[in-house]
Amino acid sequence: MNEVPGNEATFGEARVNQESGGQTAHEHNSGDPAGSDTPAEQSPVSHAHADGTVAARHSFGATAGRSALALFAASAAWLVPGLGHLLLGRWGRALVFFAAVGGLVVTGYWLRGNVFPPHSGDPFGTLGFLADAGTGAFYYFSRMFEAAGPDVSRAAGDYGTRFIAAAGVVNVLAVLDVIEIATHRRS
Amino acid sequence: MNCGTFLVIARALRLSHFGALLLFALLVSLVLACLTQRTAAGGVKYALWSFALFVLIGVGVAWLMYPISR
Repeated sequence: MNEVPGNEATFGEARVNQESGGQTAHEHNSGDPAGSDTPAEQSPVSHAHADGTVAARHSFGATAGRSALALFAASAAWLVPGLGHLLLGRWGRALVFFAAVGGLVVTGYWLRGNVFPPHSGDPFGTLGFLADAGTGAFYYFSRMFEAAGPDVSRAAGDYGTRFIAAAGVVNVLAVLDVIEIATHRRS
Repeated sequence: MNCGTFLVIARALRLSHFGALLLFALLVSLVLACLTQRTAAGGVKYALWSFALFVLIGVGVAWLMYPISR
């Protein structure tokens, strides 16, 4: 943009106006006594458009980057409770979420709560599976902890079922929190 | 920790119904405080308030249901 004298000022104005969303660069050139016939005088317009395109590309890149980070952190948060917050540098929250979700789900297994299978064939079973699957990796370790299987004939076993489901729901809330933090919707 | 160790610990630590209520209230209150509050002071206050409400409402509902449990 330094090839044409006076282009910097025009370029600067065009950029300001473009950012404000008001006037176009063409309006600036119309007031130029020399006219806008020469290619050298048209270059500020093209520079302004190029600058806007680059800025838009950078903005799109930043948004895409944030979305990718949010997706990655959310997947990590679902798989291992607290890991998403850990990746975003929220150590305290990561610890609280891991302890809370882990505590709830392990207590649920300890009380011999029911872990719903993926294909239960009834709507409540499906809802139970969705809640249980929210615990991420803990869901797949249920067989290790509950070697004897669930026992809902006692009240404690029923409590255990609620503990496991609550752990899954709590972890889903943590995943949503991670998405909001990663996309800068929340501090 | 394998499942055998886990079962041994589970049998050793017997959790009463009220103990389960307290544990549930504690863990869920901590999470809700973390999710809704941005400051440490606000989080502690919210967690204590939520914990107290969980326990009080749980005991209240249990007391109301006591006659139909027999």
